[in-house]
Amino acid sequence: MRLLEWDLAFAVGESALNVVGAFIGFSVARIARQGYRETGSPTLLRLMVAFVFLGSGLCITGLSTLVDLSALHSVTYLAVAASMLLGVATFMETAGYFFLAFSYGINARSMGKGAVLTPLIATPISAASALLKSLSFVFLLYGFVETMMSYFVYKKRQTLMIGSALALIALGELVRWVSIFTPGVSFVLLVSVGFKIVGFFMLYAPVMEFSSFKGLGEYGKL
Amino acid sequence: MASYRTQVRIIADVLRTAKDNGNEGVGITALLRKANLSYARLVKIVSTLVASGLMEEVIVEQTSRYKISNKGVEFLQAYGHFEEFAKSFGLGL
Repeated sequence: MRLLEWDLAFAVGESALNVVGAFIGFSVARIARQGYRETGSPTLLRLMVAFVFLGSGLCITGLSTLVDLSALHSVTYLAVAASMLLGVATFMETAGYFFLAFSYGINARSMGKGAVLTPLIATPISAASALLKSLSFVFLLYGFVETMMSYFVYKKRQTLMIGSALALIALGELVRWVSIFTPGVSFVLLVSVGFKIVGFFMLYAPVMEFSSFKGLGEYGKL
Repeated sequence: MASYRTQVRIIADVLRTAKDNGNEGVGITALLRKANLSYARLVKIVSTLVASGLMEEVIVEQTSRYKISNKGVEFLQAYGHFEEFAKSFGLGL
């Protein structure tokens, strides 16, 4: 009974943290969208897509945790639904990290689509999850390195904060990846979500100052 | 190595050059020098900017000169704002 209460507390906490992360993700996406409408810059379009995927992924992760909690009462179809939702959420988060890394210059054409998709179809959801998490980690690490290289050029405080944020989110992904191999340890999951949320907050802080811009939004098609 | 410039960055460079010349405007030759583009490409971009109201064409002594419009100044402000936003991520527009 005591264990069940802890599970419940962890699940609710994890869901709440994911919703906060989703809110931050969507907020960054909104600013990037406005920037894209104002300037038509493809960089901002990629940033917008990345954060829409990340926000959606975090939102669905939060939802899957709650569905998973309902499955504690041994409702099989809910457990399957939670597992599928988590699969979708992981895919969306990885797609988000991919677009973020893509913004830093990964050449998408050099990555064969078939090579990525085939093992995903052939592997069960948990293994695909592990694969996607490790991919997310690589994308984030790439983003971190590129951001820090940019920081050493421009010496902008905001760039340093976003670089540190990406490092924390990457750490969160690494811990989450480790948690796949240690099932039932909710604390590890919570630590992972904690790292990611702190990372998202650090990412949002420098971005907030750009949220107040009021433009006409009519030059995106130039 | 020369860095790759996106379309939006080229547009911003052209507008900045026009802005630097104030009300006098700038001739196509001076724009060519500053924007570092081929003549055909620059003419196409300038036509687009004039058509969209970001630049104005004025005829001075039978030659065309281009000056930035109020809308152009607004565009440059938006560009500068979101350029800083992208730089925070270590990215360029």
